[in-house]
Amino acid sequence: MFKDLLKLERFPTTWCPGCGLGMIMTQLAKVMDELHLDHTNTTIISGIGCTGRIAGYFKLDGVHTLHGRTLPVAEAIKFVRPELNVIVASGDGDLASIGGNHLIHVARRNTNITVLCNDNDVYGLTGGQAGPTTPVGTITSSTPGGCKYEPIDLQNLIKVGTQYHYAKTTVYHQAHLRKCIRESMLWQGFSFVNITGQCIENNGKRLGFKSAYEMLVHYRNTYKKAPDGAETLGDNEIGIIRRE
Amino acid sequence: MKRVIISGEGGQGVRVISHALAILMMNLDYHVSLLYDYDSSVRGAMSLAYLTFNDNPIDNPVIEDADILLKLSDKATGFSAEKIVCETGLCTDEEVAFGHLGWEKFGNEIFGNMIALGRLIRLVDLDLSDKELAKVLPLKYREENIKAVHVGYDLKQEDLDRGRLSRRKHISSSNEEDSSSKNPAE
Amino acid sequence: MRRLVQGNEAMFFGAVRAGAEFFAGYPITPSSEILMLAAEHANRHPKFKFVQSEDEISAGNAIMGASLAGAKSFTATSGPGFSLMQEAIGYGHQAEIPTVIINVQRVAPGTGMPTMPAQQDIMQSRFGSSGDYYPFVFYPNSVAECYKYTMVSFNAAEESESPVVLLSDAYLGHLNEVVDFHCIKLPRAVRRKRAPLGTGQRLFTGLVHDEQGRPRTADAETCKRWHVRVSDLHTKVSNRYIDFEFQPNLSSDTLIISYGIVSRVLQPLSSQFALFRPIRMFPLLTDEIRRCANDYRNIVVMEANDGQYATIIESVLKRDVHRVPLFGGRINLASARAGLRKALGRMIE
Repeated sequence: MFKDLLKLERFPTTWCPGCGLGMIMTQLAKVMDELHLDHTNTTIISGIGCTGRIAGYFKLDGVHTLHGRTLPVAEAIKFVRPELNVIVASGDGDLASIGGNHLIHVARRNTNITVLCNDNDVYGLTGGQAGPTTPVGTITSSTPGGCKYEPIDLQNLIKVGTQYHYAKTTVYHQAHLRKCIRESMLWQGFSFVNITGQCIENNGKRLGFKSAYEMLVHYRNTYKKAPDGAETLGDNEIGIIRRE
Repeated sequence: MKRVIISGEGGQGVRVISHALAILMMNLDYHVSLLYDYDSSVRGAMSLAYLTFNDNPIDNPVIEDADILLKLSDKATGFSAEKIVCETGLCTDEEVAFGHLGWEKFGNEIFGNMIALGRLIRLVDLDLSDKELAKVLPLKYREENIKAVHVGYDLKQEDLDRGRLSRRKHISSSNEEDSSSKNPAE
Repeated sequence: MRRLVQGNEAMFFGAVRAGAEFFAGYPITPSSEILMLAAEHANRHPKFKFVQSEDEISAGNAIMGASLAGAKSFTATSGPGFSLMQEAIGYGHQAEIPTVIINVQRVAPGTGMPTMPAQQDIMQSRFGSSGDYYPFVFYPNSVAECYKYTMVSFNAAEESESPVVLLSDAYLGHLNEVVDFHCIKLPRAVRRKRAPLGTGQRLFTGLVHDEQGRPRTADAETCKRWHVRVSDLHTKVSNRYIDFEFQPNLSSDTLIISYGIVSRVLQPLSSQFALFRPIRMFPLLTDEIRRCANDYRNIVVMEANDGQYATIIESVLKRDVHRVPLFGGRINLASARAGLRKALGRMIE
């Protein structure tokens, strides 16, 4: 039962009502249950930010690291204990801004860990500042005139090595999200799941969404499945690309 | 206690010479300390080795007053020596054209550092043993290196004078000085 | 067997002897030899894991992860890299992670003089990270001590469950001395108490947390309890690590306090002065320093920095000390004598 993997006694979670993180946590627990992962064979590493709190809700040995440092910690754990399944769950800013250098190199070293990136376009916990994945022109609490820069291209960053496994999905597409998590966990090598999820309080409302539900509908209407066998995911396409 | 300073530039073999001599002394059961002091550059900048050997444990490994100074370049200052052996033009005590001899007898200037090692071994009153040398010298060119050490070890007075005479030809008589018992290196 | 060994090498072998199984580091003069030895060792010993990190931030965090996973871990760096690791060190104190950070000091600040010896990270080793924490810091002064105190550092890390800093300097790191490792008396290696990751259901976090690992970000009582528990533990552990050397000299009115390579250079002056050498730099050897300083009218602190330890000694002794700073990588007896002459106003033999 996937709920057996969660510390229900610590609910309600610290997250806002309507936060996408609860959905990521649930789908991750379901996949772990499917794959018979538990505290004897798996550990979860999370960073700083709202996503960082996810480690505390799993009945696993978990490490809540410094901001941006999930990857060096997770990689070291994998080196010392190759038999452990190592899952990293962190946010877009933690993984791609302050943690960006580590992302490039751990992907390059192809360390066998699975990274789940909660991409909500902003730094949520600190009030909704722009982050490395904020679309150009977006108004955030640190870009009142609209974000000036193009977002980082995570897909091409992950394709730095000859071998890669990159998945893009959203919290709306729950079955697809589970599929991405499952296939990434089974992949032998570095795997990255880029999950678009809503931050209603510190991003959505500023953009004009009245509720988390509206944001989910927006994801449903915006994102389309990439054609089978695609080697690159286009803008607003969900799917998995990999190379052995 | 004997204190030896080897002073040169990165690339001249300061480490190879000092390390070889240190191991030779260690194998004779001396207490040895060998400290490297060098500048931030792979080639061409100051490289020093302070080598001390003693019957008793060594307290201060930093040498300011050496018994012997081997000077292969003039990049470093801040010490003095009782006896200085140097490459041509770098001192007034004992000048030896190490580089030139290395090129002349072995086809490459760099063998001069092994010739210098040979001279040092003689100056510290060590017996020369090919067996011991083979243990401490790098594998590459070992045969030639051992021969070069012998050349340095066997340097006769006339070889040593040749260096000084050739330098004296180039300076006016008013600048000539006899070597005194203590030579400041700078 | 007698061997000519460098300080840096001796530290590496001490780590292996202590049971270290993970090294993450970044090349930086004058510590790079330790990294290269770790890489070679990993090639020949599959159980020893080595990673050359992309930067020191990564290395500082990697050793935390490796330690949680169950391996005794360490890194080696110098001043600038040490600065980059400070956040990770604070994290290690908060999350109670045993590990060892070797800092082979060079002239600072900034990029400084990469190959020249200094002792300019004394304050940084004690206060470099943000927050109140109570680190163990050791600083040997010979190749044999480099070997022994690496083992001691790993032991103190296990007992205190915190990151321990092992200091060295560009001279000590590159000093070759004849040692026989079998003849160096070592304490027994302390084994890891805590179970490695993958057994429990614990959370290790850098947030203030309770005894169950739950974050308690608004609870002053939990925070105070943590401080009391951790500082009491460190005090208790420190009673097993009273490491110093004292050479009294009652024919002198002056005690010189020095440590690391400076203390070696000063040895020839032992006939004229009393000498005190802390090997455990922190926690302070308060009682020992007070007791030894009692009989001397003048206290001199000679160090290769601008009085970092002197400031601390003054607060311990509650009296002024004479400071003799040695700058620019020039650590030798002539500079020491000149400094003493200036400080004490008299000629030194």
